[in-house]
Amino acid sequence: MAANLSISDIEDQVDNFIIRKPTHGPKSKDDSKEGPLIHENIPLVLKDILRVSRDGEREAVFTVSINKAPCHFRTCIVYAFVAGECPHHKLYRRYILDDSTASLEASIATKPWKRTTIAALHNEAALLSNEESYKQISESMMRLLSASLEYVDPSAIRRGHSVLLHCRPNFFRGNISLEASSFFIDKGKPRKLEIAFADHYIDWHKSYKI
Amino acid sequence: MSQERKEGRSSPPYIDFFETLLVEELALEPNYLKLHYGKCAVIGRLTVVSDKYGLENVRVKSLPEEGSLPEGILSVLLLGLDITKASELNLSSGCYCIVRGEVVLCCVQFPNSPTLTTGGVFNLLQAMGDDEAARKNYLEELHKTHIPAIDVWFAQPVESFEELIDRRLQIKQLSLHDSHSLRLDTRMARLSI
Repeated sequence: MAANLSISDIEDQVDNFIIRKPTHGPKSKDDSKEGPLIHENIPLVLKDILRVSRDGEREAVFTVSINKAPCHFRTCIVYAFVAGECPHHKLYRRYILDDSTASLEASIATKPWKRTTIAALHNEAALLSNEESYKQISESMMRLLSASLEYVDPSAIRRGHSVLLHCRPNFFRGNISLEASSFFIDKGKPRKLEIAFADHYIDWHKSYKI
Repeated sequence: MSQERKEGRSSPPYIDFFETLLVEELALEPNYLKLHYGKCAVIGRLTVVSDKYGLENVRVKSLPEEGSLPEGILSVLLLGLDITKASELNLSSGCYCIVRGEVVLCCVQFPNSPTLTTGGVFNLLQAMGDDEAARKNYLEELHKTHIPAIDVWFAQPVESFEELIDRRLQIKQLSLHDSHSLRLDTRMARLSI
């Protein structure tokens, strides 16, 4: 990346790393206009994931029965305890998740290119901080970039943490696992996120109908 | 008796995820053959009495009045915790925490002797064959010498434990409902005994 990028260019770049999650709820995206609603980001527990089947007609669409009614979805959200780590891979890290309803393996993409881009931006900001007029803004940029790394690099996830995952089921040789596209680590005592997820899950499942 | 024998014939399945349980379900189980076999996640209040770690029951608001016990009336022994480990995990006596581990039967007199599990006891009894008296005798002895305990693998202090228990029980109930099981109901009935 050229060293003569202006601040606004960096801001444009940073914009790519802000995760804008769609609002929760039974919001749907209907591709074909006909056919059933296909949900995104539905809250599920791991025991639900074990009951998921692939949709015969549409690729990357899954079906699970909720309140005895079929529910079609592309992506889901789970909250679970990290009970173990599996041998990791360069492009993804694998963990054993457990949310007290079932236990499943999940892989989380490491996205090394994102890490490289963030590191490059960080270096640029560090360079700019030598100039007096840019000092303040480049320092806050560096703080922002370091913070964003926490949301991109899953290697910080350890056995004993709890995580919130945005993911989809993955079928491989008759086994079902999860493939996460983004994650959030929930550390510490308060457990507010776990309670909030549970409330959302309970509400969503109690009110679900076709 | 014949009914019990029939039940006893099917080997208890090992629960290989940390199932949400209450201290009550472990401390009050009248028959060790029906004790939870496998992993569990239990929320309670940590107590330390002369280097022995225990987990006391906490008030569960969502249970019906007759099934709900006052806090601290029951306690289950925790194995595998010592003062160094506890301080590493930020656990102090009296704090509320969530404990994940495996349910075992621990010998009261010799706490360091190998522990038993429900599955192990079941297999032992199976090996005794049809000697009804010996089986009964063994179980009775076991109830005198052993108590349920949790072999702790993970322990974390938690805030807002009442809400957490309530939500975890609701999720358990919902997930049982979907697979048409009524185990929670039978558990609650047992609690009110």
